[in-house]
Amino acid sequence: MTARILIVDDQPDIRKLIRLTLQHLEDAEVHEADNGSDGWRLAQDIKPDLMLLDVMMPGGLDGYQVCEKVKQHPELGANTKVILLTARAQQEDQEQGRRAGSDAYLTKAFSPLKLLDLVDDLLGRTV
Amino acid sequence: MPTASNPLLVLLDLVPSPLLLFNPDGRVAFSNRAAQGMRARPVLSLPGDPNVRELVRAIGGGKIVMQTDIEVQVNSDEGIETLRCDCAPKPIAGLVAMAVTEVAAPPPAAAGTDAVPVGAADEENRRERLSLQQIMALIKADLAEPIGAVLDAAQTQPFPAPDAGLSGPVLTLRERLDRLSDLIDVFGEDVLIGEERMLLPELARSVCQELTPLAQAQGVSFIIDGEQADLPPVYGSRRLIRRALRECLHNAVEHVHPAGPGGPPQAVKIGFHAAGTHLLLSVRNLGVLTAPTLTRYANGLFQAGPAADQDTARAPAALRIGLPLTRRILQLHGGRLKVEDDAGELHVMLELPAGAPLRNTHHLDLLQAQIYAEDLSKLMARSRRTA
Repeated sequence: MTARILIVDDQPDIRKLIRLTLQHLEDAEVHEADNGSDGWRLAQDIKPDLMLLDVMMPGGLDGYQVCEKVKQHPELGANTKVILLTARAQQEDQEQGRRAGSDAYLTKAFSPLKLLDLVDDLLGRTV
Repeated sequence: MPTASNPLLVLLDLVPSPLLLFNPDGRVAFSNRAAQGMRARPVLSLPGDPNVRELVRAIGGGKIVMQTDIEVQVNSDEGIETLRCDCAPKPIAGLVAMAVTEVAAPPPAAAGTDAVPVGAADEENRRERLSLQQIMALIKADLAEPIGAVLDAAQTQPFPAPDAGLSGPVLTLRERLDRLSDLIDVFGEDVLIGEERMLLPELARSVCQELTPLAQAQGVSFIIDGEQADLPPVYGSRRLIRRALRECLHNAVEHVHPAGPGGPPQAVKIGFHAAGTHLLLSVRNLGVLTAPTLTRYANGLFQAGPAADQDTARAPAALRIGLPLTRRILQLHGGRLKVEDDAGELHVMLELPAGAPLRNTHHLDLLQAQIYAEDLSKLMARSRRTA
């Protein structure tokens, strides 16, 4: 079954890198948004199986807030897995990610292989 | 490296910063679009520079080098230009990656003045602030013990009650030292403000709580209204933003019109509003001060100009220091302070950019590209396996 994946990151090169990485997945449909508010709107629209959310985004909702909204949403909450992507590696930042309900927390710069393993794991696939 | 099918090179071409990949012998193996568009033509000029060659050979040869960035002067159509070259500390797929940026030329010195070397003014500025910070830290450390002792003595007096008459001024003294300390921290051009995440309503509520005794003594109440759900966070220095809010709310409480006998208590109203990519925190009161007066104080202190007039110099420190400090803190965070009168009601608005600051993640991009390159062959193998 095709997995719908939504990337939300303000940096185009990071979005591109994630997209290039996800090309190595079987049956994945990848969508993108470049800010939290658009990401949240798109998530309600396409109901992704997985979201890759940057934490720090300028201009509006940040990754923690979008994650909270997704996890509190009646339809998305149980069905959408969330990976927070961030350059913030402090313990308290990870704790905040857990409080927001994220399923995983990946620190930038990340290994694409590790990302793929994580995505497979969260989507319940085996490599 | 074939360009069309290599995802790493596709990726590097998308990076907005100029990037070069060198063979370990110092020849350029790849340059991205941004590098090719540079006026200084680094593809032609950098391989001929002995310092660049040495740095590339050291990194390419796996030798650990302490310094991976250098400045190089090259000839361009516009004359001599300085380029800063930052190298990734490890080769990517056997190649040495270098990010190139143009270093802005110093402005021409005015006639009759001495030219200042690039970076010297910044360094001087940093040193001056550092010495001010050290002096402030010494003053605070020196006074901490006697202030603590006086406070303890005032609060443990058995009769008739804790000496509010004494502890009040001591607390004020401590607060003023903190304000001066914050003032020193925001002087200069190279102030680092950090990237702490804050939710303004939370921070404002905590400041209101801290100011409640003062507000009660003045017969003033705080009313927090306006949209609060879905407000984006603010990133920066929590301590400094808190200082800005405190100064603003403190002023609003202190300069409110006194309530008439038997009349309703006066209120300081705090509102929040998201406006595009900015957040507005507004503080409204029926105050004794006018917008032009507050604007005059807010614009003082950090601006070069004639010394303060006598009227300004006599003003309370909260206005003389607090307001310009608030304005400066907002400015450092990419925001601004606005003051308006509206039918006798004073509106002080603190505007801050919503969300994280715009980033220059140049180094992260390079590091990320390096990790990607290291994983590339395994990714390909994985694809073949799953296919």
